[in-house]
Amino acid sequence: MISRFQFYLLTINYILGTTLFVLIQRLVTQAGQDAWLMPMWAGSFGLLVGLFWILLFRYYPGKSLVQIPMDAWGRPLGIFVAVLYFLFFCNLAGWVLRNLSDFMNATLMPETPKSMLHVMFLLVACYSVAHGAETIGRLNQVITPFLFFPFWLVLLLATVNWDWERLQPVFHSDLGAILQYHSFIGFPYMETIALTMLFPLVKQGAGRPILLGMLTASVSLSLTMFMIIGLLGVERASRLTFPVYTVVQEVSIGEAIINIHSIISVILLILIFIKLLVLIYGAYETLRQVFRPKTRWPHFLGLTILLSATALSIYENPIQNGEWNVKYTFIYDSFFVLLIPFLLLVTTWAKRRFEKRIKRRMN
Amino acid sequence: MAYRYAAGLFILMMFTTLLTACWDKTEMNELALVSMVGVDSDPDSGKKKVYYQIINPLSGTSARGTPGGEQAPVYTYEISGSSFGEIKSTVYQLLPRKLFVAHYEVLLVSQRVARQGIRDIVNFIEMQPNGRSSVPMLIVDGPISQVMKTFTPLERVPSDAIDSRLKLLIRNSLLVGKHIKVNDVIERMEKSDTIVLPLIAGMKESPSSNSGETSADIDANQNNFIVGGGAVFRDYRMAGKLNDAQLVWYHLLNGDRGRHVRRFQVEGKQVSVELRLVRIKREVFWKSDQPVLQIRLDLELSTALASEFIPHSRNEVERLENRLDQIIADESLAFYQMTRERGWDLLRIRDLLRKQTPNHPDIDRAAKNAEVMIHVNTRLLRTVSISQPY
Repeated sequence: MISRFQFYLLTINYILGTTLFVLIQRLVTQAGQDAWLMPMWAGSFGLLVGLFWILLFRYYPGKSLVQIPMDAWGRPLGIFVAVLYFLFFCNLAGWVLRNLSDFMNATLMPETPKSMLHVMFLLVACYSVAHGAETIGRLNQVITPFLFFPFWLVLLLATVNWDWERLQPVFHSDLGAILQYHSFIGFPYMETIALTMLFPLVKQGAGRPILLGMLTASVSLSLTMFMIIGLLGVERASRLTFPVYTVVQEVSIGEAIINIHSIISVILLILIFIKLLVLIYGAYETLRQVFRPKTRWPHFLGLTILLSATALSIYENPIQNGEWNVKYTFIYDSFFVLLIPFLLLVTTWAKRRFEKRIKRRMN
Repeated sequence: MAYRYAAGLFILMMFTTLLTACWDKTEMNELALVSMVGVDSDPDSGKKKVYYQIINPLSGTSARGTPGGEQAPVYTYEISGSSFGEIKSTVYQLLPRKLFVAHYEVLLVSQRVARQGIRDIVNFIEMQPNGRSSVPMLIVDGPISQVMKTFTPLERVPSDAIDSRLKLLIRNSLLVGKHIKVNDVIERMEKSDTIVLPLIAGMKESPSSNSGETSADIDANQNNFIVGGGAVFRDYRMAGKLNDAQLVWYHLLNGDRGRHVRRFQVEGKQVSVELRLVRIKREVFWKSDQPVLQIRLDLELSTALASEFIPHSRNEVERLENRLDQIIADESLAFYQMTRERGWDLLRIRDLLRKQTPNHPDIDRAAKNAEVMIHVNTRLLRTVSISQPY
């Protein structure tokens, strides 16, 4: 069992995970100097989606995302849906890993083979997941201050390059363009469905912490965007692949504080690691709850092999990834995040109605 | 159980071998640390020429007095190719160590390249993961190879010499502004704005290529280069030059805060006054569809260096202040008229209008026709240590 606070922190770090360096450039391109508004509206949509899941989970207390379909639709169809979710989690984990190795290759370690980074991360992540949800929760709780303080400290150090003029004119970008960018709802907000695998384990209910976590993550994203635009300007932030990294790279205070960008790299690595932990936990728990295996390690080994292969082959280059993000993320995620839960909810309602009627007749 | 231990041990062993980042390991003595980069192009063949000035790790205090004379503090390599990307490979025909550009301090661009356009260069810098855009960019007036092959007195590494001169000029004069870095160039050019970068020129036709000779020569002007004048850039191209006198007004009207000393003619007397900008306010208001830009400058004066004339009474001080208000306002306006005639938006009026009225149909025209009013308010705050000149 993990505490509410641990789950709240997990939600925040999960959302911030890859977003901080995959999306920022696209968001700035889309909304210009008002890009800091985007996390606000996407976050509010994310909250609605979260409320929708909570509604579904209320009908099935103590059950996880993959146990619900088995309960609602019977075992054969339930197993089919659970396998779909398993593949979804694996896919997301592949993406996360690949984003990570792309980042490392493009910044700190140009020579290191991608697979090396993937396998190392997976081994450590599997080890953590094998110890269960409490370990993940505690690890994240311990590590969060070490992410939060250095990140904001480094960004505050970067304010030597701050210019208010970069944020003007305020509220003058095309609102349509901001609202059009639906993929931002898909990634990262809809992907938080992986966290629902932990729902039954949160003491005193997971509803409030997940919503608050989404809210906090949106505010921090918004603040980060605000900082990035004020520090780099729209012109550069919309072209650079990793604006957060560049911001910190260009910090130079006197002779002493230069080249502190490795701090940002480490923070991003750990954030991604946390996201990966949740996804691997989701994938492994799905297997465990559906197939009830006796031993753990072969599955973890299998997951490591599967995910390292997925990560290598999920896209050929970041350009493809970007295009997928813009065009299909929302639709793809909607199938798992909106459609299946919606069908589950409908069947649940229908079943309950039906059961009530039968009961009345029996009486 | 033993089985688990064995598996655990195996994984641990794997970690220890893999965690050493074998792939990206670089030792300091395998790197060629670049301190300054120069870019030129051959006008006939169109080939790009890059100069890398690389720090000599053996130079410094330890190597002094070694037999065979003193070590040179830096070595300049000159490589040409049809693109900057190609140079990254061909550099190793000359260079025995891994090129490490991440810590370079200064970028020099020759004037002929600057006039052709620097889009290529900024793109190349910005593209590279370890290329920093936060380095000052200077334009070389004259042959670039000469500046790249000049040893500087006092500061042994030329890039340090340039870097600290720029810092001193920013603080103690209005000849160089703060926004001269590659990232400033990109930002301004993308906004279709203008920017002024400092010019640098060699002092001598053929500087000595022997650092020992240079450091033994008393005449510091002999082997040196000088930072002076400014290159005006529009749309990634150098459009013209500003002289030192114009640079003062340019930086003042753009809010730079260096302490600049200038000699003024006040009531028939010459006075050298130090000015420092305290506050600048730029406002736009519209007068019958015409934008009017009002610039208010508050300046702090100091007569600490005025050896010619020291005001005695309140009345004299006021007269001096009023006269200077007038002179500075007039000269600034004259400077604005000059830039307007040449079509350079050096006061960045267009950018100001874009922020204030983003929906204006024709900002370019409005900016060109903008009326500019400059109000200057100077206050004498610092005086000298003598009450009367001898």
